[in-house]
Amino acid sequence: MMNLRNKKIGALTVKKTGKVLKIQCGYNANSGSLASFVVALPVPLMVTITALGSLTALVSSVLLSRLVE
Amino acid sequence: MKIGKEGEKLNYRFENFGGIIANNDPPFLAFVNRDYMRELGLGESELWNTSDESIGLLSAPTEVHFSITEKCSVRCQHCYVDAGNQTPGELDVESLRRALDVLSEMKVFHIAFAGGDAMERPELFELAQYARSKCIIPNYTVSGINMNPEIAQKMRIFGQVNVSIDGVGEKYGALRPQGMFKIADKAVDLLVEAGVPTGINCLVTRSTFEGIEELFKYAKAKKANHISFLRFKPAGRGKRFYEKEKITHRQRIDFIPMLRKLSTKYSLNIKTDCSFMPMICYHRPSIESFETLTSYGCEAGNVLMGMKSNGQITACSFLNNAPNISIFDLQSALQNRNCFEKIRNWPKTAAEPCKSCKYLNICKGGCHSVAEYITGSLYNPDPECPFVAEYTNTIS
Repeated sequence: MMNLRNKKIGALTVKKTGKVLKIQCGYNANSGSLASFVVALPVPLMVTITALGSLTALVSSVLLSRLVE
Repeated sequence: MKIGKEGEKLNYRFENFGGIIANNDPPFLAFVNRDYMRELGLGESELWNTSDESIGLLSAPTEVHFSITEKCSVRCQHCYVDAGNQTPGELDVESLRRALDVLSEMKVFHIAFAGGDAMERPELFELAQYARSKCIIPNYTVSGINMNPEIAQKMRIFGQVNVSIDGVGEKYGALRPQGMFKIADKAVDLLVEAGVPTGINCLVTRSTFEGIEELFKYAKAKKANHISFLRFKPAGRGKRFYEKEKITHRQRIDFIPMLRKLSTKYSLNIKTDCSFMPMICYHRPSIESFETLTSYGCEAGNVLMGMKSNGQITACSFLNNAPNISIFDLQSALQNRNCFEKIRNWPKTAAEPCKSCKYLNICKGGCHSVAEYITGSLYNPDPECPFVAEYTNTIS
């Protein structure tokens, strides 16, 4: 879904060739069923994935958008 | 290799497509491809000895609903587990720790404590702490009973706590005990004040449907981080009220557009449970939009499993006719493909109209517990899906 190659996000240039296929946001407190976002505010959710071991920072910004449009 | 905050251990597992990486702040699971795992220096996996790199059947659930008791003093009329008294065979605390060890070995990322009322077990917080020590994030839904400032502080151990509130004030009590609203309301205040990520769980029934906007106003005023809307299922004591309280065909169609409108009006995020997926698909969203939000249809036995208080594993908390698999045998059952294979592979055998539906692989047939109750087989399409109802001319 999100090709991070050569994306510049903020001050960081993403050099990875890997892809984030999908991101499941938040925790589910329901003990009966699987609840997932279907309507979320269109504000940027900064999802930061930092690989400190290689001193490479990888930042992906996911714009949560409305599912039912 | 680290992820997220400095000092935090990278929590991940391999899958055929690459792997899943868990982050806690902000909370997310990232499903990444094989290159991504390699670039993180995580090596190779024997699960990659296949040309299939699609996200389908997982090696283990990402989330388990972890029931530790069936005891509950609230005794809601519609309880899906028929909770009330303690039942024989409940796992002791040592066995529950071992069960968490099993889930940790399988790299399950999240659990939701379940019951009954899990707070009836004095070991709840100890178990939650133990789960955290095993890199499993515990979550919890409460009625609000017995909440006080001290317990609210302890609730910070959970990643997310939701309070069950189906309606505001008198509308709370359609199926729940009258007088409980004030208790639930106080619990929301205490949890938010304690800094616990707090949401509202709303069971959508014919009685509560008209009060949904009022619930939005309430949740916004109380600073809840979202509302989760749950479909009423014909399970446990809920079967007695199902015909009276299930929402109508018209309400099923109107529900999602109403949520979207109210979410915008009140600036509040919304979750729905997996069983509402047919009602979402009916409005024909783009397939890509499901990927953006990772919204799930029926993932019973795959992304999700349940564990009963006696340690028996179920495909989900509403499907009780599962093969008799103990939590302690779950790993080998999954490895031997002897665990909920029919429900996990349901789209391959789906009947019409699901078979030809473009949302088949997202929705996966709607709620199979509803299908079982109404049609006698959990493998039939959900008859309350608006598409299915129109196809079979059984609009009700």
